[in-house]
Amino acid sequence: MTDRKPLIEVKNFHISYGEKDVLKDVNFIVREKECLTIVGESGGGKTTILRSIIGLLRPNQGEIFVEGRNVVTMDEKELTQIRKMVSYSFQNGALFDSMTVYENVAFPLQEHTKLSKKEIARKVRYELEEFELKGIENSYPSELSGGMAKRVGMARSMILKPKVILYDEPTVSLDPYNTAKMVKMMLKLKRRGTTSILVTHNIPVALRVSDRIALLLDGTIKAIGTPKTLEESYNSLLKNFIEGIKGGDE
Amino acid sequence: MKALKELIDFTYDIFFLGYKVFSQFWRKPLYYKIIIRNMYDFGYHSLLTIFILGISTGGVLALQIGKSIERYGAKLYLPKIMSLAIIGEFAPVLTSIILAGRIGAGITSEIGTMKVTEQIDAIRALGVSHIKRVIAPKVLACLLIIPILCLFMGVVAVITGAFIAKNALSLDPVFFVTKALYTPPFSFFIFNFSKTFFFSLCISLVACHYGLNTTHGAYEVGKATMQAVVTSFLLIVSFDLVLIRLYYMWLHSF
Repeated sequence: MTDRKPLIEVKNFHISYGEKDVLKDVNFIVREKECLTIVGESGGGKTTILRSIIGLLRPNQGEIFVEGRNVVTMDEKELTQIRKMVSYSFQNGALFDSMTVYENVAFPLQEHTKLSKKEIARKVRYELEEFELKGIENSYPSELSGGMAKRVGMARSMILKPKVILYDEPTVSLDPYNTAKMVKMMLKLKRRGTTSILVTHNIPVALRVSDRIALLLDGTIKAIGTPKTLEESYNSLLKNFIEGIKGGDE
Repeated sequence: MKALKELIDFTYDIFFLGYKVFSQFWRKPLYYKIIIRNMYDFGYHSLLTIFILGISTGGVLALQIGKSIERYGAKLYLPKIMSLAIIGEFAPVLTSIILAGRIGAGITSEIGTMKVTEQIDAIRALGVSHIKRVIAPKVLACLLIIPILCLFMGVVAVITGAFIAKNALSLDPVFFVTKALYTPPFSFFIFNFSKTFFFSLCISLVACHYGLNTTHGAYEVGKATMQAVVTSFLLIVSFDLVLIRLYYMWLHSF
């Protein structure tokens, strides 16, 4: 894994909301085709890291490199290129409620490509089939279950075939059946060669899909390693977290 | 001191939002279909409200002023007085105030809901400018449709005035409309019509600003909507006074 090219590098990342330092000196690297999972307390800044990678938030200090380009100093126009390459799967799908499922999934293609309507329809159908969403093209987001809305959001994020996908709590508030479906989707995307960063509280999911896991506690990365090394390690913080002594609530 | 800082921040935000809207709108792709849809939503769905406003304003003015001046034998001046009042104040200002409630509230609640449900972030995350895709079409649609609605209100009010004047004061409707049209100087008409573009900007930019700054849930959306409507009201009436003062200063400079 270490011989692969670093795709995302977060260096000396620091962000605060008002007086509160949420993240202090966060550093990590994500390599091509790797899946890094960030676990940590609720409100610990995991989503903030994801949002900062695509420039939705700006850190107070530090640098974030995507393919060697620093997104922190980019303007909105430059960030557009990054956002086509790095897609974001929102916790609740963040679907456009005035659009149907078809229109939601077709949105990135309509905005960024010059494909014909027929070609767009073909691609959308293919993506919906991939995410087991066939037959709901004309439904509105309000008519979907939580699991379906998340998968539609994921299909929308994946339709431009991005290099990187950022998952924000993809299994939160899902039943075991839908969680298993979501894991299946994530593994499918991983097999496609998509690099990913996953933010979750769900340790079994993290152990299943990740190449490496990072533990974010008190605003910094306290431990990082492969699931196996972390499971076997004597890192008390990680063990405490997994056992629910600190954080771990969903 | 805090209030002054908030006022400065608010003014800066509104100007900056306006700058972003007009600097990004002209870049491709042009979302003309969204602008047309917004114009339809704002315009067509406001027509009945503005029609009723025009009828009631024209009718009330004709009756109130007509009956009052009839006692002094001055009812022939009714069309002149009414056209000055309608073109100068009622059509641009009253219509804009009503539309701030009707259109402005709708814009703020829509954008506010999109903000709290992360739809605005989703647009940005998909590499699309939310200013260009969501905000600019609404501002442009307001700029195009609000002046037309103000004009429509004025026409309805004058025609209603003529109708009431015929029935209540026995004034000839042709005489009424001719006098109403030819009394105000052309510059007066142009100035007051131009005001509506300014008011459209006040309504749309303020509504979008409050929508984009909405945080948390439904309560905040409601609060932002209320703030947007009240701020638009205040800006419309304040700028009306300032603009009228400037117009008469310009007129007297000749």
